[in-house]
Amino acid sequence: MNTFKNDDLPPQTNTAVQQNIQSFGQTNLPNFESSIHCLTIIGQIEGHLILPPQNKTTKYEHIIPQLVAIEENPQIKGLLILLNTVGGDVEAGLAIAEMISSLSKPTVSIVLGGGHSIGVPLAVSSNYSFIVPSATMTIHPIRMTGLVIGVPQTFDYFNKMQDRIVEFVIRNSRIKRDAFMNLMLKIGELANDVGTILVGKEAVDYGLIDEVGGVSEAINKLQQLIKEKENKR
Amino acid sequence: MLYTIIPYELIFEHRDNTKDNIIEINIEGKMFLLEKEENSYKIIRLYSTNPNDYLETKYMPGNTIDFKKI
Repeated sequence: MNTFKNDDLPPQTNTAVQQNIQSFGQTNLPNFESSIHCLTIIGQIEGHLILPPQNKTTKYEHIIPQLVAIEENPQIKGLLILLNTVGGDVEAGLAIAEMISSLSKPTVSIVLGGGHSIGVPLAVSSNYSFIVPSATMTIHPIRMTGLVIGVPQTFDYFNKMQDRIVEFVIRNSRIKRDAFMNLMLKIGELANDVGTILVGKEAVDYGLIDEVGGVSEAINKLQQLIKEKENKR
Repeated sequence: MLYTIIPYELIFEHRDNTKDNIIEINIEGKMFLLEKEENSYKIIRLYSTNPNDYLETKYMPGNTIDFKKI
């Protein structure tokens, strides 16, 4: 039988831990550097307009440099994206989504709670997407309140903006354009709006999300993608 | 242009009541959202993609940071 000897431990870490216990009454965190980084996207996606403080926001100018750092850092092998968003700025949302989809490192996203409106392109931007069974995704047309100039051009502009989103979702998921447009323009599902709410598995059935699952499934998938990428080299 | 399920009225409800005691700052290479208190700053949010940063007790939301450090 092997007996574990205290002398086997490297003396340096031993004293550091002891010192910490003596002076702070706590031990050091295990010295473990994660090769997977996680990006949480919560609340409103904030773009050109600074939103009032009662809004919880994810800011464009925070996320984009983080994504650049992740792409550049050789120690980071993969990215996990956690989504719980109610939507937000179209341009900022699409910008983040395009950044994620063009990363060379494996990316996996999980929709937790909700991934509504502009959260839909964000959810599908990763290499592989998960949704927890209780999460929902609302798909609805773009709209605007306030002063709108009532000319046909306004309608065209709306259509163009909406098409950017639809095109991105179709390009990055298995859903067909017709199916997605049907969901977007469905009536009778939402109380005061046109559109659909997809709950958990429904999003997978429509081909929008790849699989139902939580953290462990997502991390496993990410590790599998990382391994596949390393083997290719 | 916003694409969201939250009504515009709710998003822009308290437009003029912006807090001026909140700062964003980089400490030890990490971005923080801090709220100014009398002699210190309280951590409101940590912006990081490294999951280990969130395990560090000193970076936890609600903890305070000395004035001198900033």
